[in-house]
Amino acid sequence: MSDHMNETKNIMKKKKILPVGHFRGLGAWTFAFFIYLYVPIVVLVFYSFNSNRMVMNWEGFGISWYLKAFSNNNIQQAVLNSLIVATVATACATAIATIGALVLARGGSFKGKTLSLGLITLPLMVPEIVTAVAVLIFFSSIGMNLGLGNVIIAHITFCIPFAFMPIRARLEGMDTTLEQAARDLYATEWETFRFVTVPLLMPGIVAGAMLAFVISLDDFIITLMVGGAGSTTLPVYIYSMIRRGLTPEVNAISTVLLFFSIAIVTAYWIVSKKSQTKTVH
Amino acid sequence: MTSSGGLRGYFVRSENARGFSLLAPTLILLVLMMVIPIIMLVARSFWTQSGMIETADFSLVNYQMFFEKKIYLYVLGKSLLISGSVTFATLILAYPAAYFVAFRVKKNKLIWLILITVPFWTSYLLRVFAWKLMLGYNGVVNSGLIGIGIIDEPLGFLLHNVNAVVLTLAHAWAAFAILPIYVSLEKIDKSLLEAAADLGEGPIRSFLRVTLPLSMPGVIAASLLVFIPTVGDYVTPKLVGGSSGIMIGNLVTNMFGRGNNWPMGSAIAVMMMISITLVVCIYLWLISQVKKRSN
Repeated sequence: MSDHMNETKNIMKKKKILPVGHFRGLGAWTFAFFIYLYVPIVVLVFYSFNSNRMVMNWEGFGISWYLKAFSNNNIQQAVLNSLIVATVATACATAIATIGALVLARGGSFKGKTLSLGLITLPLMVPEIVTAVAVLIFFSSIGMNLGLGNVIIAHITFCIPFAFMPIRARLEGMDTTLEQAARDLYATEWETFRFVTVPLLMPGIVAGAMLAFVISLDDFIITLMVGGAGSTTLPVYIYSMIRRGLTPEVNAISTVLLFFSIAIVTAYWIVSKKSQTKTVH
Repeated sequence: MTSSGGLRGYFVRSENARGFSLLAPTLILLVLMMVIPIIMLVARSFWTQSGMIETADFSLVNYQMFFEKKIYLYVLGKSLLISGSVTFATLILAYPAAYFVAFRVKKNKLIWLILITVPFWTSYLLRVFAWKLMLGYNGVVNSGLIGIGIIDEPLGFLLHNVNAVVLTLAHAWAAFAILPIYVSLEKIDKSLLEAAADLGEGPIRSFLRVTLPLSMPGVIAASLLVFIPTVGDYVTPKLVGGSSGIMIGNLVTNMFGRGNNWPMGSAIAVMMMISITLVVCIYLWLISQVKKRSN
């Protein structure tokens, strides 16, 4: 067997046939791609530890900018606003998306199903700036001015499709035999839903919620347009800091945010990986 | 089921009523927060504004202005061109990387996927900010080049132009483009490629005739995912584009802010949506034509 394999290897070497999927320079290109992706981010993190007042003049390692950023009242308020908006928006959008996905996947066929699906994914099809100004016109026309409430309602709307997609994908991959078995064993519709469907669907719900949370936390243009003076979120505050000039303080907040995102993305992949392997069994 | 008459029985029997009553809160919210606002935006674009007074009579004045004043068409055309270049650049960058992960990586694919998507999950604003640090007058690129001794004075032309916008946007969206391409490549049955190789097809021919056509759905999805949102981008042109890198999203935002002409801003936003739809339709039509030819 190994003789045979060696032979094949030799033939391949002689004829210079590359195995399937091998192109020269592919590895180098991928490497260059990663450099392009990561160098700016590494630079950002690196300079956050600079103790000089000017961002780009390296003076020495220090965490003074972190301390300064953490003790800044405006930043604290912006972080608090961001967390309130993202938490409420995620909870509402995920609940709405879960019901929507369940009805669309399990509700049998009813009229207007395609239309409903189109409506739910509409925020993805419209450029963000258009959503932003359209919602601004809407709020000002009806005279709604709830401060952070306006921002939260806008965030719920555009977070729905992001929460919806992983939940729907999970539902489509789920096999219905367990639910049927529960019904055969005289579980009521509610019991089947509560003790069979929901636990099976959980990885999809968690993945959808995490996606919605990150999208809401990162949103800038809709918040800028819709939010009033008192509802500055972290991205809006960071933007105003960058506009005023580069300070290592921005780098420091950025680095904290970066590690927060890495933690979430890692959790997201682990959850979605788990849900994949569970579907197979 | 026999005992349940009346309203409850109706709900159990009728899938239509049941589906809609469960979906109703969601649909009402989306109609209220997406459909009605967009209708209001379109309606607003037919209003007129002079000074501080807005008139709610139907008028095409804003659209007339859009086509008469060269600046609007020029900036819209430039935005479409910038987004087209960004889309092209991301595809060129992302495709080989997706190909590498799909075909060459055998172990720990999850780690590769995490590495590719981490930059996408970091704040968009921060990625733009990072490029300001890279390309600025005292930025990393300039200090690096001076350090090596290639230049004596910092280069002023790195930041605040169209190239900086394309570079930054491509960086911000590359990770977004890679996922659909990766998924479509991952689905390809490797035995097809082995068959092509056995039948004497060279690697490049078999790539062009088997791999590329089969991965087209991913490529199309990726290009739309990048093109549609980048046309209206606001942050990147504002922070790294300078005056020459201004895009249509900046004009819209300006009209709703300092410009204080909401009807005109609405008209620009409507024209932007129409032109994006047109470009996407032409793109999809071209692809279908190429497909017909090759069949």
